[in-house]
Amino acid sequence: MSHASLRIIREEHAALAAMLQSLQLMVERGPKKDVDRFFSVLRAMLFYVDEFPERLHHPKETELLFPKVAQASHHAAEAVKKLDRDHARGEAAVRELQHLLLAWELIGETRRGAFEGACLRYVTFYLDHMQLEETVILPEAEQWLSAEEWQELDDAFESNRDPILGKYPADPAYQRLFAHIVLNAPAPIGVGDDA
Amino acid sequence: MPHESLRIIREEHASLTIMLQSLSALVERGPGDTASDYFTALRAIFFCIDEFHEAQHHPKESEWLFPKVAAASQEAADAVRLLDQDHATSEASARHLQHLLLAWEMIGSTRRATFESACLAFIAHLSEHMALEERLILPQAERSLSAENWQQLDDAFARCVDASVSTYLADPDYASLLARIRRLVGPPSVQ
Repeated sequence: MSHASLRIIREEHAALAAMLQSLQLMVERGPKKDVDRFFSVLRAMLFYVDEFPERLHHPKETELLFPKVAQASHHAAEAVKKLDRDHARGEAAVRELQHLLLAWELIGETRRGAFEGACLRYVTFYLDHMQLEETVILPEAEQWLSAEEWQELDDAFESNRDPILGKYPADPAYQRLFAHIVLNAPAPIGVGDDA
Repeated sequence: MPHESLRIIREEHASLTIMLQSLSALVERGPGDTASDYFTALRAIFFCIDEFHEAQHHPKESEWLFPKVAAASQEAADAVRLLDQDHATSEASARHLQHLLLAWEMIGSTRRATFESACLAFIAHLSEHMALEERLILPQAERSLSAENWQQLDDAFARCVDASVSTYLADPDYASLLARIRRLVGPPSVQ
């Protein structure tokens, strides 16, 4: 049986993974002629990763899903400890990354390597984190949670969605942010020109 | 007798005060017709506060000066507890403000008021923090510390001269960043 809450988590993971992979591609490509635009797109991507998953996605997992799964399964409880620690340090990590990006932009090339290294570590950390959720937490939840618990989760998740997926009344401001990223990131990352 | 460590602290406070005044002037002025320059200037000021004052200035106070002063009197110990709490949370506060600024720039004017009020509160808090240090901690240090204490402090500060504001100001990368802020901000400018 498919549950709305699990579908939402998987969709949000897919949107976030796409953003992280685009971020990494942008960093590997590096700035070309239009340096201001390069930094503006990276800043918008990091803002997205900071704003939405940290505010909307993680709290749903940490507050709603994880406690139920940890209670039901010892195997999941071990993973939940690690995942909760990841969530607790996620905001500081993405903000440190934003600081390192600003250092590269404002101070110059001497600070580029530090950002590139930290960015790769952050993207890897985040993709691994979502992988652990999908391979341990979601299957354990499917195996152990009761119909009542699913109902409670599904109701809570439906009321609180990632704005970029566009499946609930979207805030036009967030759509503008997403459009800014897509229009300005060079193809094939986005649809912008290769300036 | 003037102590090198106190001179460095006062000099760094003066530099931060100028940064905060520029920040305050910008927030009062608003973006006007040059929104892009405005956001760049605010970001650059936060970067300097974050990079220098949070990362270099506070640790010197918390690690070397405060413990010696806290031992001198109950009043100083109480103040040090507050000041150390500020140091522990101020980097996160400065970065939260940068997030609120980005939200205004990226999401739009519905997020402006949140940034502005948080920014003014941040400026007021940091100014009061420095005022408490200058009103209570530095005079208490001058009254109570032994010659040996001062030697240790001055030596410790001298060892991290690379992390003093005057060294930063002499670094060509920072000098050009500060010049850029001056161009964007106009008077009253950072020095």
